[in-house]
Amino acid sequence: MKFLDSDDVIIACSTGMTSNAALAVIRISGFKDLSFFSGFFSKNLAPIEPRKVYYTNLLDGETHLDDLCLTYFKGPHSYNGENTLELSIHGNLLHVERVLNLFTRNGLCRLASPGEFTYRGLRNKKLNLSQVEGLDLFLNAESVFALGQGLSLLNGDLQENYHKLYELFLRHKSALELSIDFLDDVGEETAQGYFKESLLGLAKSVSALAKRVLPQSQSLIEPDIVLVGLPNSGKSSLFNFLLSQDRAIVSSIAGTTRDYLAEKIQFDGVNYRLIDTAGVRETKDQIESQGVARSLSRLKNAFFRILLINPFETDDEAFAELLKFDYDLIYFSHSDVAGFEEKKTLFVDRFCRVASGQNLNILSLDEKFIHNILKLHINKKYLSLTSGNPILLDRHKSLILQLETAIRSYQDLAENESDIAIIGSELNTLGHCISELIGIISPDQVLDSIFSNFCIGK
Amino acid sequence: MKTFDIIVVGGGHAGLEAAHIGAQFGLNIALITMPGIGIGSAPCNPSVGGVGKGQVVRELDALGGVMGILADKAGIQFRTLNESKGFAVQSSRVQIDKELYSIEAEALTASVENITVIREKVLNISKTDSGEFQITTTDGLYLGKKTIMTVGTFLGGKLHTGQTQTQGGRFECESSPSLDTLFSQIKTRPARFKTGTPPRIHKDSIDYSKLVEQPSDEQTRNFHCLHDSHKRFIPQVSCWLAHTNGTMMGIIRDNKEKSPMYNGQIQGVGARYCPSIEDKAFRYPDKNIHHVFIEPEGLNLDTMYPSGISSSLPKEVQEDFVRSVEGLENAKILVYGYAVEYDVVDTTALNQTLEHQEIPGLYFAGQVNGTSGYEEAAGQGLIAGTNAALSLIGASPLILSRHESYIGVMIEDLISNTRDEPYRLFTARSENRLFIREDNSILRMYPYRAQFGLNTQLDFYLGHYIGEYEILMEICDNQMISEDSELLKNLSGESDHQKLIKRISVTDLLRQGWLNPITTLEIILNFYEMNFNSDVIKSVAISKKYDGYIKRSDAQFDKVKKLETMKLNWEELAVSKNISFECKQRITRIKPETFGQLKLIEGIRPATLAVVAARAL
Repeated sequence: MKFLDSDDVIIACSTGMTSNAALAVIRISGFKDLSFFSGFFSKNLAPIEPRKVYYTNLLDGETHLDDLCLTYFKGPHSYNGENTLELSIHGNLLHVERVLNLFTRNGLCRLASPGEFTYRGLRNKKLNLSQVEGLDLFLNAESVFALGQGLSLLNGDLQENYHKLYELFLRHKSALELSIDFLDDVGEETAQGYFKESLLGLAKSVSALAKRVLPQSQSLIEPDIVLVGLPNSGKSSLFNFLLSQDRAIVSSIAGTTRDYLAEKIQFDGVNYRLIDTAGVRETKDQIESQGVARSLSRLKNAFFRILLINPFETDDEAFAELLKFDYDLIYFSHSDVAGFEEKKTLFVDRFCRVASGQNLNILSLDEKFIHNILKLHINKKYLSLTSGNPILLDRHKSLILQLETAIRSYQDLAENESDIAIIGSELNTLGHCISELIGIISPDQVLDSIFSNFCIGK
Repeated sequence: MKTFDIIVVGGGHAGLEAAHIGAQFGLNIALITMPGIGIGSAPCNPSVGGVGKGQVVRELDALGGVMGILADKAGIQFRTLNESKGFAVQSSRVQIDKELYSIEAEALTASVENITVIREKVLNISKTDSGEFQITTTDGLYLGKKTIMTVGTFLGGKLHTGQTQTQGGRFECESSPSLDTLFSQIKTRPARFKTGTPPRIHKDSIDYSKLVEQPSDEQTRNFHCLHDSHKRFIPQVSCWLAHTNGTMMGIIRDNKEKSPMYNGQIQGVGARYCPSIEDKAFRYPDKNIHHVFIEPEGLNLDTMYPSGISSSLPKEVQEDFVRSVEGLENAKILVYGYAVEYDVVDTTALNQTLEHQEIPGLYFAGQVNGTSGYEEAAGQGLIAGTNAALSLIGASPLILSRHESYIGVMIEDLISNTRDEPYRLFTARSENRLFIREDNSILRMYPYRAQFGLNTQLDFYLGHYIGEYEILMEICDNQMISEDSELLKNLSGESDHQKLIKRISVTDLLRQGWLNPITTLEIILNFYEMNFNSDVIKSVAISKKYDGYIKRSDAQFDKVKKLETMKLNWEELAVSKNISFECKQRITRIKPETFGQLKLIEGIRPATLAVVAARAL
């Protein structure tokens, strides 16, 4: 990130630049005072009050560019702590570009890098790292749940959990220090008791957090529903049918490739990405085989996997490849063709033995009916996965898992090692893990904790 | 007018170290001390050492300090604290005969030709145009090239016992003028600190049969490395453990309005780790039982020091509560407890050598810097004295790293933070506790001492010690013990259920959790008829035992260290918009080349470091 240390005045269109709209919001941040804008507006900005909306004209020299509303946020009482001006201009893209150009062409402002406004908020301590992560999650959420967790991070709720963890770590560390530096004051028994009790509390809190780390939770951020099957198994037909029913309003997935087709559909407040993979079969075609590999990789991280089977066509070898995955649902297509039931039974006998151990949800309904059933299954899975309020962010997940492992081995050590200096040294190692999640713990804080809980001293 | 290289103002534990180390460099030293008080006196606990502090005394000893020598000679009860807790946190503590301690300090000082003791009260200090210090006392005028202020609690000192307030730095001692009178350029911190002492009890008025005896430990090693390790210079006596009770705490709680600390008479801030009995009564209303260690103050003194019940309550209340303790029913109080309030300087105005940043040549050390404890004072005294001397002879300064010593931890903590209570060392303050131990203090301090370029008996001993240490470390790595060695039979006394499954080195054997590394190494060396200094054996054994853990912990700090060695362009920083004006001034003055150096600059703000560090990531 090049902008880490930059103090330039930055500008960006905060409402996105993808299509024409009625309004666009331009944000300018980091200027020293409002005299910075002299000449740009018909109104004299010197006397305006922060946090009030003013109507004025935007000028390019003599030329009148737009009528707009502007709001001034005076630092540090602004989103990122800097002086910020927000302009609500008309949202024609050509016009937006013209306005950005007006402010940047003389080097007055610089176009902001992605995330730069927020980074400055971080730098000015208006947000902490978790809040920034929460904001990112919130702005890019694909589900009401992710929206919720993003907002919760933004409000500092998860941070509060971490603070509790921090308190518990502090308690335990001070218990350890108590038994070294103040043994004469409190006596061995009190020190031991406090040590054990505080460790238990810490370990409990870590495992409660670890319970919220699910291996599948990555798939909850951008949930994919993947249709898999051999060629001609009816994937495209199902894909198109589902789209016709539930295509999401917002759909901006770039291009179609030979690998797979993807479109967004919405069930019950969750934007899923519906993916029609390339037909999987052994192929000598270089490009297609790459497509197959990529299909399989999509499958690996998918939220919901549907295997489609055309019981009239089989390719044992390719099919065995597909059965390496677990499926949430298996769907037999071509149910309207004569002899379907017979073929299906045969197929199930032959292959589903191979797939034993899988929780088979076998459907063979007409497309008209599958829609509701499918929706039911998908919603059910989404609700069950989100019921434990899983933590979605990778950084947090991996730190919590690390912490869980670290605390287990620390508990072992505390049980078996008699040298408290060694235990203390390993506790510091554990502390590094914790400090990445919650911030650094200084010796002064540890001592403060001791003094507030114990009567110490000569 | 008499002229000296270094003038030390104050004859306490900091002043003693400063004067003696300065003298070792052959410089001409004056030690100015209040008339009527012996030097090196112990007005608080009659003990030296303790957890974290024992390490400081041994660091001092290896650097050429005198505290260890004096404590051994005046030691009447030795103890190893945290004995069951692991080698790294074990610390020695010695009860001292405080009368004898001072006599020994006087004698040792008198034996050094180039220290002149001046027993006069200092009235004024000023800096001459030539950069020297002119010191006016009640009786004379002295000129010093460097001045070290080790004035303890005497600056603007005020004593409190009940409603009685007297000017003074200590019982029956007058106080010195306040610092701004002495030296108008220096600001003291607006907040005053407070400390206190308990009433002293006549030793014949105590019923010892009701107390728990704590005899002297023969196994605790003397502090001074040149002393016979376990020889005692004078007869040993015991300390005694008593307990407070509900009656006693009730008396204190009933007299709240008479306590200067709780009725607003005392404004100063006391240390939380050194609470008065009033603090204990009011802060922990549910707790009535506290430890009271009854410590003898000297073989020929009648007073016993009841550690844990310092108080500034009126005399009759002190009498009441003392007599409510089991075993002290008939206690006769010889000296009543009192609290003392005093001025402290702002240590963030000092640099790592303890020299005042704005007044070159002027150093501050000891309790005047807001620390508590004789050991902390002595540690600073030695740093200030050494650096004043090194500066005079044109050598580079002595700066101890916090990763290598408790003295280094203390100095860095002092100069980088403004404290709102007296500072005391705890092992918890160190991030490197497994390495900063008592047993390896010589190993840690020798490289620094060697740089002084002195050639004393101590230097000869230290050099020899390090030689032996290195040889033994190598032997441990190279000597193999086979799984069927006769030797193992000797070790089986340690534990009979473990066996070696293959040939391993002595080093690896010492790391086996089922063996005590020290006795194991002793047995091995006996077996091979190799003769080593017992201190070296102990230190090598413990080093080997901790080696893996230390490496692990070092790895954690590697990230930090990497950052420390990161090169930076100070000219760029000096014009950066993100750095405060003061920081830029300091950067321009010091011209740091690495992040580590930048971090060491006094007064560099965390925000500045964050800006620079962020750029590196």
